[in-house]
Amino acid sequence: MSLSALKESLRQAFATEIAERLPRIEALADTAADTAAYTDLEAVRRDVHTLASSACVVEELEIARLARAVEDDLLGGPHAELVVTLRAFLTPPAATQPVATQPVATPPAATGSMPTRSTP
Amino acid sequence: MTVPVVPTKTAVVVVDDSPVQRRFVRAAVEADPDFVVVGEARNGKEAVALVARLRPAAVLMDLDLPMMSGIEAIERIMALSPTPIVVYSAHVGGEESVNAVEALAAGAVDVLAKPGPDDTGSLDDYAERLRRCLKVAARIRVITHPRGKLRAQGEAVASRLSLTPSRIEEVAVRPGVKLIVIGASTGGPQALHTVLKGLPEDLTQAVLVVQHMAEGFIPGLAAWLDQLVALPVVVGGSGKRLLPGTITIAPSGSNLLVQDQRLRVMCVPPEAGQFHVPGIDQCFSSVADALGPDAVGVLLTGMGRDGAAGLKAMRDRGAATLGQDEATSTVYGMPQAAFALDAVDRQLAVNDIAPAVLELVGRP
Repeated sequence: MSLSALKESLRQAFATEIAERLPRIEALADTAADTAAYTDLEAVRRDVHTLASSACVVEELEIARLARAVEDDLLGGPHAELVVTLRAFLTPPAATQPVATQPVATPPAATGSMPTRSTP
Repeated sequence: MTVPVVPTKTAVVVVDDSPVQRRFVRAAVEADPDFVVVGEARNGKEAVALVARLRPAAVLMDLDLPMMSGIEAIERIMALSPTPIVVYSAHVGGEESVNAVEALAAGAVDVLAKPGPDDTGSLDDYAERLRRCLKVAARIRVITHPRGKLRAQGEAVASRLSLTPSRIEEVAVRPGVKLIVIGASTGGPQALHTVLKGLPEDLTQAVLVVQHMAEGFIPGLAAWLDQLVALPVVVGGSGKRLLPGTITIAPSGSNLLVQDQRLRVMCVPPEAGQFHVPGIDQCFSSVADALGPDAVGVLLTGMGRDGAAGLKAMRDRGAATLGQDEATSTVYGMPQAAFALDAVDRQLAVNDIAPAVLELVGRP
């Protein structure tokens, strides 16, 4: 495989990885942090940890920095900025709609949606 | 009839929960035609099963894994199907270097940091480091790792083993000993733990440890050991003194030399072409010069031969010298080289080294 083909293949895999993990990060960003169950926090920690490392491999360093910042401060980190940046990666460059309203691709191997949590 | 020789490739298993990482690592590894990735695992459980089934020459493993942590997977692999494991992780540098030491103590033979967003090195450099580590690791003949083995067999067996009587013979007590100096490399953290936990908190000798370790991981080793052993553990530095009843770890990036009978130390830059830093030979030789017979030298598991000549110098000046035996060494390289040089008074299982040291310094 040529270097350019490898890079493209890694970016495609990264997009799939984002699509799979983004819903959990969005759910945490939308929820009062202190209501998040530990298991959900652990899942999100693993999500942002993985995305941070993968982002370095595809040289998306802004995503890597934001993901690392969320991993370091799971309850107070820059979730919203990370979500926006991840959505932007999934959005085709030609798109003109505001990033925040872009739909998120459905993960091909999604393991289920986050349980709905109510804010007390 | 001539049978064509088919070059055998080095089989590697990659363990990472990220498809991106697995794809990158596979490409990086297979860029060297000597390697082939024969399997990929997504979590610790898969890794244990896959390594047992495929028996690769080496494993590249992330630490942060779902279902079963990387540390537990390392322990199980080393207990069930010992294989050289190189860990690559985002959380092994700086303040998190204790994770690297945990991985080494669990049985990994080397640890690499994954590239971070603020790293200046290129991905090509990282890929080259991965291949270089794998090349070295694949040549290591690892043994069943004691920690995983004990856990696998259960606590009952572990407690029985801990009561196994020492096989140490009668030795002459050396009341003048001021310093116990220990050198270690591959497999060192776990061996150090075993030896150092056997030293009591009221020990009156100073203890100096020289462990080959990449830049930045020594503070993690010190912090990790400090939690596990009775004596306080500190990182040494130029101008300081080695204190009685304290374990000092030589810092990375330089050679730590003992200057005099007062146990003052200095750090000097590595010699030109010196492969292992901190150097065990340099430290042991300085101890031989400064303390003569008033020291005990211990050379533990490790690849290569660093420490062998230094231990010989210590023995020639009258110091007592011990070497770890083959059966309990992760890599029987340095202790073997020392043994071949006639630098070792006694060769012992790792569990017998602390009792032997205590016997030498006159502790019951």
